[in-house]
Amino acid sequence: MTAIHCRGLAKSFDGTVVLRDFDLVVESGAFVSLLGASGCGKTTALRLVAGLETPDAGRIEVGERVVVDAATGAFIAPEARRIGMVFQSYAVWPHMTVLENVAYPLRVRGVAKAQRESETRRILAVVGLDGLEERKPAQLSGGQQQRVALARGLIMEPDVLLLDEPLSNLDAKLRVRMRRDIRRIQQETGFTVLYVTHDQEEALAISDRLVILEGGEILAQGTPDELRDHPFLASEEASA
Amino acid sequence: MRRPGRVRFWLALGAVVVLGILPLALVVKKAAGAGDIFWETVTSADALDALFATLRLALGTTLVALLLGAPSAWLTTRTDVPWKGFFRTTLTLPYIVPPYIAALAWITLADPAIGFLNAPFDSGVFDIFSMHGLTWVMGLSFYPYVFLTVRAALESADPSLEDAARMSGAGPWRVVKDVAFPLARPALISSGGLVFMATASAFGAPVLIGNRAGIDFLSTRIFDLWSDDLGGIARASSLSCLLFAFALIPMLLRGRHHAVLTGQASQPTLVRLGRARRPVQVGLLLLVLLAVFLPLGAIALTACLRVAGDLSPSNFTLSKFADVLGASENGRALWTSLWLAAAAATIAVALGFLIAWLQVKTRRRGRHLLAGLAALPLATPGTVLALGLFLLWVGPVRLVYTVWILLVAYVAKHMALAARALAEGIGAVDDALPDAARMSGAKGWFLFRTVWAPLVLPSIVAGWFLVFMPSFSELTMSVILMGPDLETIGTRMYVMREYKSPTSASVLATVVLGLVIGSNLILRKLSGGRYGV
Repeated sequence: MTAIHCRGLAKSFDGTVVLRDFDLVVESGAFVSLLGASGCGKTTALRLVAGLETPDAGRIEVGERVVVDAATGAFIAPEARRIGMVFQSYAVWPHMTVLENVAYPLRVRGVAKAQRESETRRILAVVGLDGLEERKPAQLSGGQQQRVALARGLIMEPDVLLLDEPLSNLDAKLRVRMRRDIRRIQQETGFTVLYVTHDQEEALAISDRLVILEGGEILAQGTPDELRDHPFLASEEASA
Repeated sequence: MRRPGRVRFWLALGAVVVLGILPLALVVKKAAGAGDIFWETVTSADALDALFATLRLALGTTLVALLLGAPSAWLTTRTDVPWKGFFRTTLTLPYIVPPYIAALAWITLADPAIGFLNAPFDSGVFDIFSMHGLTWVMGLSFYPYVFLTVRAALESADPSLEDAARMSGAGPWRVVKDVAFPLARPALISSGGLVFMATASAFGAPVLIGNRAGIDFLSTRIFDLWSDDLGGIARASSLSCLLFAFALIPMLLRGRHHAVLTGQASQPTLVRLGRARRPVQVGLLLLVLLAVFLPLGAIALTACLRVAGDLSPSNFTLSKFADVLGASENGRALWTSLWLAAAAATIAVALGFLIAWLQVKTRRRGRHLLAGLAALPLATPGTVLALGLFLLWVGPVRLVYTVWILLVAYVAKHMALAARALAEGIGAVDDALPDAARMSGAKGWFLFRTVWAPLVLPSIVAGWFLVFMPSFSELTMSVILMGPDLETIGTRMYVMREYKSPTSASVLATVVLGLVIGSNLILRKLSGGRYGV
């Protein structure tokens, strides 16, 4: 079954083309990474799927639903797409506790308080944050804030989770641990992941499939094994 | 293609156009439709006299403001003059005192017959009822624009620029001439332009002093013409176009509007004043005395006198406060001003939030136009805006001579103050924070209440007070738009000064000052010193 299907997406900002002819099929339960240097269009692609940007051309289906189609003008707002998202800057709300942050998507949906709390505690245990429920974000480390953002993305059990460079603000050691945790939780729960990163080692280690972007266009895609010897990756390795 | 925020954009644009743009368009239309009357009015001897007087007053006031504001800004940022903190606060105080209250104060001080300053002399030595007197009052009211802008420019300038000049062998005065002055020049030009514009637009102080001095200005002339008769509206509109064009000239100098921001203090090498240290300190103290303590003291003192001008001990009383505030028309006016200002502030913050959000957080075409249109009424002279509002709301929806037209006027005039404060607050919020809430399913009012409002609360509060304070003490539009049984605290003072008692006016002025200074302290406290003086 297909979880995300993008066809012919194009987007430009103030006359500058940042994405063109973007076609992507993500199978349900897969872990797919968009890999590329900054400015290659990978974050724009992710934000189009989220609904935080609208494409100039093309259409996107999430599950059975057409969420946006530039040709017909169809558009489902981001808040109605039932997609989880983890941001590069974590976007943990500073005025709410850990519990309130993670419970927010349930609160939006009017879930009763008692059920909200038990759900939240369960998901906090999954990401390893139990015991920190009443902390404010300012009292958390970067890694802990990242787990709050992850828990918040997961709590409504979305079919699709979008991750925008979630590990780039963490130190190297923590990065490796977090990416194992993300992979483990994904395999246990079985949701679909679209993952944006500029770190090819990370992308090779974590993904079922990679999509390499350059200058707003798809350069190549395939499994880590198929792409390990791709010249794009080789040249990056050589320059690194 | 559906774009997020489209409905909101048109909603905000519609509100701004109806509140502030349509009235101005109607003034222009009225003037253009007047045909011969337009040319006749604009080229009449009266109009030319008024234009000339306005020009003299605006230039004179700008000069006074620059001469007072610029040196005091430099002295309190770049030299070792003592009591810097005290001077920084007190020298900014006139900023929050409405100019017409300063005029009332200086009338009690320098009225040729009963002014305190003339008490030691047989005949009036100081005469406030003159062009010089008015220029003096306006200059003392408006120099803080220069002071604040130049201070901010000096504080944000890299001190090492000046240190480098010192190390190149330039003496302290050479550094001022070659480095500090050029650094401050844009600030001098923009704040000078602002003072020019504010003076040309001013109504309260010119009418209180100019009437007795027999001098007409464009703003007061418009008011007179307008209250004349039916043909008066066409004439007033014609003259309004002239004043509007005149007051907007400084905008061509790219005059950025003031923001009462306290810049971060950097620590430059201070110029040692040496033997000049004490004289400079005394000079600044004198300025504080003249600009703050003398006028405010005069108002408070007059409020405690039975008969104005007599300082004998038996003449002192506090009963005036009870009498004046106990009078039902004053109590009603105070209450009207309070709730009107509070309502205007609340509406302006709501509208300002929408405008600021569209401007800062969306990429809609026309968002900058929206913000520019919202700022236009603030730059428009109050007399002109009031005239336009009268023309718009005389029908088919009739709001004239009701309290609602004042509400509309206050929101229209001050919405840009709220929008500006909110744009700063909203701009500081990382896009990902509201985006994360949307991805969690939040939208509309819920999104605003749970994420936006808590994150930009300080700016919401600041914007609210920034609208509340000038609305509460507003005079120009209130005087023009007031009808029978419709009085605000400002119009009460105006009426009392004109026909009744200066001591009663002083009591009300003391109450207004107390409220404005109190609001200012709250604002300063809540914003952590970012807004307020």
